[in-house]
Amino acid sequence: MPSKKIFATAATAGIVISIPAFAISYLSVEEAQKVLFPDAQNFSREKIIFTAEQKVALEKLTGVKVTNTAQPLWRAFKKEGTQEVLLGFFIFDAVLGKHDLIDYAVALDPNGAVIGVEILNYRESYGSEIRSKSWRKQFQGKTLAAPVKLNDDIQNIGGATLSCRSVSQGIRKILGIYDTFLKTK
Amino acid sequence: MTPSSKQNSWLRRCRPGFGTFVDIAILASNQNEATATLSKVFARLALLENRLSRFNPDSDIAKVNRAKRHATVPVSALTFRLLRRAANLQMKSGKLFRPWQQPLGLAKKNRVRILHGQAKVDLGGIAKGFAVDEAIRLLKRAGIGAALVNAGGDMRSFGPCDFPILIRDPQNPGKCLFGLKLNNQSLCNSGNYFAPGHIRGTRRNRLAVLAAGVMAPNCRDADALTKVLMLHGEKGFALLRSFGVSGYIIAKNKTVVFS
Repeated sequence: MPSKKIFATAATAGIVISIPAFAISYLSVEEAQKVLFPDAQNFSREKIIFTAEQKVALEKLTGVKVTNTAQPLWRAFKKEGTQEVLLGFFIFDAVLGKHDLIDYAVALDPNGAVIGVEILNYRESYGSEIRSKSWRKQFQGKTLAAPVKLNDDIQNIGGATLSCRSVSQGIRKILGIYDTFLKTK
Repeated sequence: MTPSSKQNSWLRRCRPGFGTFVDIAILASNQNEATATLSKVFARLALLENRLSRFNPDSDIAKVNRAKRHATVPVSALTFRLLRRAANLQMKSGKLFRPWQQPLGLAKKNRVRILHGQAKVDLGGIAKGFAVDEAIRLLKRAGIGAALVNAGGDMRSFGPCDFPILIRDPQNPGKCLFGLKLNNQSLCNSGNYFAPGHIRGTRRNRLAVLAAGVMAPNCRDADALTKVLMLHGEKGFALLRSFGVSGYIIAKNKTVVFS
């Protein structure tokens, strides 16, 4: 067992390493469907296309700027005897985070209550070149000693709290979409 | 000793929570069981957030914040424990860590007495740290071999491996200033660059440094102590020593000083 102490590897302020792109893939759409609706046997895909008026109405309803013109979604079903029972809606969307898009999925039950939210892909990009490849190399191979590589880049970045406000706004938009398009009257 | 055999692989999930993103990576041999474990952990975190977030009107903290002078508010045992710990850290830090603005009476178990005016309790960071500790506790109990939990900069790992962590440059958050390795420890890093103004000094106590971090056995204390370093700079190292933990500050000229 290695020492429990944390040690700094390059604590000189002169060395500044840029991260050109930091991206984590957590789940694919199919995996997220399984996680959020573990009992579902069937997902049927559909797409809601917003008219210009609907878009304005949705923005007014939710107070969130709607940038997309269409919203893909899946209805999750479970077989009970010969009947298919609706478990809820799986809605996949992307919002602009601090620097780049965050893909996320929201699961709603048939009454529009949130069952769960999963982040599918998280990206940050800065576009600057890596100044010290060798410095970063020291982490490779040592990381996690696992057969599956989580990412090609350094996996964990410590820093101040990143806000999830954009995802919260996205969820509000999705609840608005439910109210406008999916709610059974 | 390596944690991985052929069947073992990392599973990583992320959900929004505590005003940030909670990212959990676990090493598991059975993917289905691991997925179920992660779902349970996230459910527990959601419950904690409901109890501890001042933004949720039904939370214990929101109830305390609504209460008038001399009122007594019943709270859940876990909220009470965390408030007690926060009060303890507040005292030991000479009120540099101060998650409420008016004193609270915490003498009676699971009861909070409002002593003066509205308390304005905001457990923010320490609640996030506590949630990370809870997640780690549940993962250990579920028999997971190794894990890293990161809730927006409050992180903790366990298991027989080093987790490389890069620390952002506070003046240029797209870049990293230095690296650390985390091994069965917590690391909390604070800075004002993504959420300006969330750590506030007083008129006498402005922020002393650009960013600060604390490595401690648990994330709850590490988070609270980070705030002390933010306000007190190198002078805060003495308090860290009394807790037996280590930390670093990133000074205004961008030099990194370790305790």
